[in-house]
Amino acid sequence: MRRRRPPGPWVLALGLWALAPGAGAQPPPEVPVELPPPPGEAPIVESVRLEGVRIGRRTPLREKIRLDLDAPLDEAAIEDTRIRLLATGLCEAVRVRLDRGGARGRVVVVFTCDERVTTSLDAFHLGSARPTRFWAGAELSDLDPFGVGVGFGVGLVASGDQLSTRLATRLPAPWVGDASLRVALRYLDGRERFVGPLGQTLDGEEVVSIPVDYRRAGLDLGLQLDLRPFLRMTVGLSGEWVQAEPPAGAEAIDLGGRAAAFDFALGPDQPVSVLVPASLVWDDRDDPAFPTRGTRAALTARAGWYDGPWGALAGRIEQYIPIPGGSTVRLDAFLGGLVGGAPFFARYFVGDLHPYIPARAMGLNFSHRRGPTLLDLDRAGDLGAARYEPLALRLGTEYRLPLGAGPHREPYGVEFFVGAGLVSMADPAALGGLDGLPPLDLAVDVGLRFETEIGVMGLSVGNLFLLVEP
Amino acid sequence: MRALLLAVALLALPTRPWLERDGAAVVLSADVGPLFDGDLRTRLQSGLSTTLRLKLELRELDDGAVIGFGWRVARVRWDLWDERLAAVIDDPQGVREQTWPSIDAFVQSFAAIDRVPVAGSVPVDERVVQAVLRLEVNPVSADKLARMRRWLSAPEGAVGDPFGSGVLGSFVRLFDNLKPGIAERVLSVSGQPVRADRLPFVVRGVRPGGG
Repeated sequence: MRRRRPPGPWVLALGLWALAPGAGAQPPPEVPVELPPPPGEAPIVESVRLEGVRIGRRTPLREKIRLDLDAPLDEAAIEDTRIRLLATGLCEAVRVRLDRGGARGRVVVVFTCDERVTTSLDAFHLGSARPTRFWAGAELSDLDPFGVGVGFGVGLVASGDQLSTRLATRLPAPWVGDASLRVALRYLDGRERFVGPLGQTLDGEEVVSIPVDYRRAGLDLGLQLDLRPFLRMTVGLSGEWVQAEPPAGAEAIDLGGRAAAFDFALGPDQPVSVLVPASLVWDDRDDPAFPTRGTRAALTARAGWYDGPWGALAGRIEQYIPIPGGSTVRLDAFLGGLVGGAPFFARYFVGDLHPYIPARAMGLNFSHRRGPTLLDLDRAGDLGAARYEPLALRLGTEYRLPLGAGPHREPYGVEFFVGAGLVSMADPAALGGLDGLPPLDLAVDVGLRFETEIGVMGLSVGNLFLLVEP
Repeated sequence: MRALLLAVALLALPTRPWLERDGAAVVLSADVGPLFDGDLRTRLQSGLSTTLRLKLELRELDDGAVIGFGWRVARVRWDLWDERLAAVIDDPQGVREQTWPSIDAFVQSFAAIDRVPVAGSVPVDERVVQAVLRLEVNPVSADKLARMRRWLSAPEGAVGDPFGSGVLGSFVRLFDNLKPGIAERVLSVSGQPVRADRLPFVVRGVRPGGG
């Protein structure tokens, strides 16, 4: 029996566009902003002063001020400095003025900062899905809680039988330019419910899942470097101790219906895992929370050692395109591939790509849900068989419609979104016996996003599936 | 004395935007001087260049659609030593340079909107229109705005997962989200809504709104 497909996202989106107030209004024409400087000789910069910041923050903020002394005033450099100060996230406003210097034609440049509240709730985890009745947690960080230019972050997520915690600090690393060094300690006490592609047995008995207790404790080092205004690079080094005792006598039913010894990608004989990740991120979106145009792209490479060497390469791109009426279309693609004997937690997880399956929270998976399989391909290659896989692909699009005046006229607002994506995950070794398409599924998510003075939040069908078992 | 006050009142521009028909065109008059408050005057006197972008919009009241538009832009700088204001002014008439001996003198000149055309023609019907004047102080380009909020796009997370784990955008993130607007400051003033078929016609020799 085939399931009914959900209504097409474009039908919903067009309906809401027609109802949105001001959707048909024409924006006024653009007025020039750039004019040549007024006539007159530029004064000479005698000195620079920074006001309105705590003593401890003066050093890291002063490092953002790059003005030549005893040189003619460069207003573009002053504006660049103002933006650099705002981009630290420590100031909610930066004002600049000139004071008279010691002699005619000489000036003192004064930057006055209004400091902001720098504590942030980066993530809030809440869910309920079989076999975990309830899990919750949060990740908090502060860019500079003690006014000494050092950031801190803590995270904790737990259920009845699983726990993950993290403590991190971010330090400026001026010896490599505009860089910061992140050091994180983490501990994870997990219970993974392993499932095979088409089922699993333990000591010859068919079981719902095979629970395996494991513990991980690790140290992460990460260096983040701003290469260009829109280009950021991160490199890292992680080492961790892994302790696990997978049961003997476990078998997985593969896509061909055959039983074979379960490959947990986690063994009692491999206590150490090492990882060297590196990422290049391009981000020229006009706003990080509610973008209307621009591109965000990342290329991530990982090299590791667990039960032998392994490596992974992933590319991801999001393109935001404004369309008439004030709405935006996002196109996105993700492709990742992994070779070698990576542990299961380093592989691509179906919940991280599919909105109806709970994503991992701080490295923990709380659910053994296999997904609704909207495409209902009715064959062994259904994505429902996918779990932790070495190959992953996602092609998606999303339509975003601002409700009300929209982000061009109001700084905060609400937007409706409807997104759809094709998700595919596979293990090439298990695909040998399959004909035609690789495992594939359609993911559709609909909801609202809110941007307010206290942050950004979303409410969608995907969120509901975190709390309600479909 | 009463005659003098009456003469001043008749010569002054209206502080609220005033619309009139001048042949087929609609013209706008206003004095936006009251928008130049103490903070803005301090900014003008900072010694650094300040860009002022004044937008004159004629909108339909029903849906906010812009049916007429005018503009005036100035980049001004106060000379700390000579104590005078130099400016580059741009409007549909072209670009020109000018200096003023004081901030007040500049404001008086820049803020005077005297029968500036904002629409070539507006049908004589029952639609309700409204003049909206917006003064943007140091407008920010989209590029600069994105750079100011760059810190927001790099939350704490694993090094190997630069986007975080959310794919379709289900998230909660709470922080002090003071969001810079399209300019350092935006000041605006709106006129009285008026039916298009009841717009007064320009009377030569009489100041706008002067009766």
